[in-house]
Amino acid sequence: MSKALYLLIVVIAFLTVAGVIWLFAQALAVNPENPWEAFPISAFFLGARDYMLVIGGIVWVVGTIIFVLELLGYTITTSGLKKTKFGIANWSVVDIALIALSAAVYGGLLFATAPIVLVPGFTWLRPANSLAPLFGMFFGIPGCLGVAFGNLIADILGGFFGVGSLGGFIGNFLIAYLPYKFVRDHTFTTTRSIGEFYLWGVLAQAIVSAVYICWWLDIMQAAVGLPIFVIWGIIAPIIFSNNVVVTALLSPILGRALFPLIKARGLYWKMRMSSQ
Amino acid sequence: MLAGLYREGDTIFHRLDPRPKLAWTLLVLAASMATQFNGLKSLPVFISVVLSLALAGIGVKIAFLLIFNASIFLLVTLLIWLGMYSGTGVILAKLGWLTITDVGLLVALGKFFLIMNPVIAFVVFFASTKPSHVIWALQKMGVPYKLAFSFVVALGLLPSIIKNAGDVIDVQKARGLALDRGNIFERIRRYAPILIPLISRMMGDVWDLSMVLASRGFGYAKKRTFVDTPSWSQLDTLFLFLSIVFYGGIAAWGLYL
Repeated sequence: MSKALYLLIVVIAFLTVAGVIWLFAQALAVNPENPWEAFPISAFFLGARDYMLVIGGIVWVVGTIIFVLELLGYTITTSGLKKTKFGIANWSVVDIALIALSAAVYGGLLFATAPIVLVPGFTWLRPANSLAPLFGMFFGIPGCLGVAFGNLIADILGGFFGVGSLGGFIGNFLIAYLPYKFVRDHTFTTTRSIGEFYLWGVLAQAIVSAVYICWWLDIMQAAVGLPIFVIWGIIAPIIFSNNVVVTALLSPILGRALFPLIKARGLYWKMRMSSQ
Repeated sequence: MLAGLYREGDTIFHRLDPRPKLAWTLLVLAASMATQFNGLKSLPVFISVVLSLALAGIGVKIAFLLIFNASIFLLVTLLIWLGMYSGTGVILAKLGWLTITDVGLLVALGKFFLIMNPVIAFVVFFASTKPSHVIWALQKMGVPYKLAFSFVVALGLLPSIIKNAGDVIDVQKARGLALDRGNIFERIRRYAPILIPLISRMMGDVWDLSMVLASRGFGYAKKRTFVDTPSWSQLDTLFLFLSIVFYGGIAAWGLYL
């Protein structure tokens, strides 16, 4: 892709961020008691529920197959299925430690850091979510799994653990997996690196995770106990908006600072793979 | 250090094998699902899990967290489901724009119990089961050992990570970091001085934990053995039997009567 295209992706990502914030502020002004009713992103997800069920079904099947394949040590490439060194059978003590610590840090931070108040009544921006794509890009599959476990742990600690947590488990794995798989340059110092990150680590992961998690909640409605308008009208826009805003604004800053440190400590997945 | 949610104790729940306890949590979930449209029918399930909190000797802190979450869920589910069923059944009361009907109240309570019952049951399971027994039970269920082990280690590391996060936040605040000032861009950006030191510390911990695992020969043998394994006793059989009868009966009541 050309430089101009990468810049266009970054501009689209920032316009999305600005749009989310502005639209919610407007919705809050129109209907302070229930801003979700006037929030266009809620209306979009609710109105497109039938399509979302089809798209979500495809995303769910593909996402779950990818999750299982990666754990078994296989990855899908343009030239077919290839064996990786990241399957459970190949995990070394460093991989185990990476999974455990990234899960504990991600889950602990989700639990310990207070949500940011964007405008009164809109309190769901979680800065810890900015770590999810970075853990995937820097630590590989152990980092992706750490994010999935971390979300599960935050659910257990926060008292939200239930049937819906399974959707959140693989949904969060995908938040880290997409940038791990598709971002080639992890340095955050080139136009390509930034452009690829905003495409896969900001826009794509936010859409995929919202659709994946809410499709699961919708299908398992009898076990989860949430009405449809809460699933698609509140939870889907929350997941999408939070992931877009936080990863667009904070992840590149963290990535730029952390990448040299992680490389120097020998924990960058590409280095570990080549040394094995 | 790796105890995590587990609370040491000698209660009836601590003495049980993890397998019937896991079956119990699933039975709680099934009974709550079967009775989700009638709060009166799911009330016995709720009472049973609250009773299990006391039987498992859960600390005041965890119990308070659960009660706090429960009150939030109760309020939200009441508002949502009472509103949805305001036109069905006999009107009991009118509170401003909210019309409370008998059907709405039963559904709202049923949905509240559907959310809360499994949450409390899983907390009881984790708080009364030794981390090594959780790994053992997960392995018995076919979960790969390394996967189960890393999850349980992560759970165990949580208290120290949360303390570390609190320390870093306090230190940065003492240095003048204001997390609640400025526009949204500035406020989000200000989390960088908190997250970077934490990740930096985590990188050191990764190598420390790796060395501990390597020095103990982790992963050398294909088949894992455990020093301390739970054994199935008559108490487990009785507990499982009573759970099946009780929750199965409630599920049948919810579905067919």
